[in-house]
Amino acid sequence: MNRIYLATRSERAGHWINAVGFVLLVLSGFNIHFAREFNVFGTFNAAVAVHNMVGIAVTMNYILWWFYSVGSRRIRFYMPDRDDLAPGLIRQARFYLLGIFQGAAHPFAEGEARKFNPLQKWTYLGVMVVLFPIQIVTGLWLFYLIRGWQDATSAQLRILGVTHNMFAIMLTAFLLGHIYLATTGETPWAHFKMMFTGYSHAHGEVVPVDEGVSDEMA
Amino acid sequence: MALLASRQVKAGKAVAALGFLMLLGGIGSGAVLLNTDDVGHSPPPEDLPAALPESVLSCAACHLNPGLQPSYRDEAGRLHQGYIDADAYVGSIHFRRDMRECTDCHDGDYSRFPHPKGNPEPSCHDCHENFEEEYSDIQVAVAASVHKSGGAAGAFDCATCHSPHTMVPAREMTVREKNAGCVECHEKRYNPTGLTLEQRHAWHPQAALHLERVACIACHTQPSGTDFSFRHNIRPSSEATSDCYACHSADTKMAAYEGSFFGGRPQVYTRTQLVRAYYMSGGTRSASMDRLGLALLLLVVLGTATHGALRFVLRRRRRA
Repeated sequence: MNRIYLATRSERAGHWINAVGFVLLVLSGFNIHFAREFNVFGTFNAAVAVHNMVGIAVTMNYILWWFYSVGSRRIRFYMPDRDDLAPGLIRQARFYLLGIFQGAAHPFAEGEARKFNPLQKWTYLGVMVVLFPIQIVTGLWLFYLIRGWQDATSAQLRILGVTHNMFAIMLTAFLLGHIYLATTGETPWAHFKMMFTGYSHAHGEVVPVDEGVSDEMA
Repeated sequence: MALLASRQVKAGKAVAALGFLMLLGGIGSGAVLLNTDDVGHSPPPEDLPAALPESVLSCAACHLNPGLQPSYRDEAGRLHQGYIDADAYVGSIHFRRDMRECTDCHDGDYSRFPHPKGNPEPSCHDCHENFEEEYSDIQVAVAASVHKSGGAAGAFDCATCHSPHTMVPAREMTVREKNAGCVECHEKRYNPTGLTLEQRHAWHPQAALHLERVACIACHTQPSGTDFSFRHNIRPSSEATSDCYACHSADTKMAAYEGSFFGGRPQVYTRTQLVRAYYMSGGTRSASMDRLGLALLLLVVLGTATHGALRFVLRRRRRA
């Protein structure tokens, strides 16, 4: 069976740090927003403390991701090519809506040049380039204002708060979708295992084994 | 020996020069003092608001003088603050209602200093004829409050907190102005613990922010009844709100108050208006936005669950 080295050690570490942080942010964020109805951290203050600390940790993790991805040039896996746009997206969407139920092969096989299918590329790009930065900026700004380091008007707080909320919902929706789609591998656990071992057992078309195993920057 | 002598000469000259300079300075400042018509510390009239009537100016030297702050305590222990902020006086509701001359309220002999004893003390009743009926709810609330039923009982009347010289309707007061009355006493005159306000509120995770932006009464009174008189029923600190959710939740207590969180004109808000006007984490949520967001998440959960179930069932059928 073909084994492809898809995720480097740094990518996997970053991914799981982000994953744990993300879940904590969603839970503590919901605790802060629905203070009385969703009090999973015991107290409002505990939720705020967790949210602030984890938020800063995830922000640093996110900055490291940029350094690593650009430095190692592995950011290229996220870059859509011409085929990825309309036709690729449609093929992948058709697979999720129809093919997957008929046992069809994944339309875009992983390989040396391809880590993500077109839908993944666009989603991850959107998350990493649009959603994450907006969430980080509004989050840090709120933190800054609420700490009292700058005088805040309610108009400022409202715009920041509502934006942070809206994008939090979108990111939570992404998280749910992401976890579900991770079960659509060869077996339901295949992608999860890959994210721990770094190796993918190729599905779909047979592809050459990736020689560049030691593609790590560490 | 010669060296020592020359040093002594130098020191002597220095002392002489210093003495001469001091003499000059003394003459100079004396001349300045002699040139001053007004020996007292009354503020120059041009610093006072133009709206003040001429007659007030004769009282201004003492009573509008921030450097003098004349005050006294009566037999009941009530503090009578004799200093009046000129701008606040002009802005007060009484001044705006044409009670502008000091003698409009203060009957008696104020021609000499110190003023003779026995001048009648003005009372709210002098003008507010229906005072008892008009303010009965507030009087009941004050009587039940810690100010009237606690250790400091008796030393309070309306003017203790609401100086008639500066008072404006509550909806015109900023949070800072509202709190000034409380802070004035509890930082200085009545502070049994000896701690600063910040220290006394140190248990609160955002003490400074709340002390600055939230009215004291928002925590130190408890809403009850249909009118707003409960805001005069200041509770003992043991009954003050310490539950974050009392405000930071959908059924926020803040909706019961006239809102002014950031120095704007306060007014009573409905829940929707409160949400539109202010931001308070957890307390000013938009219910429709919450529903929209949760609906979106529910849709994703249901969508993926259906997709997954379908995948599972169809795969089994293919295998069978």
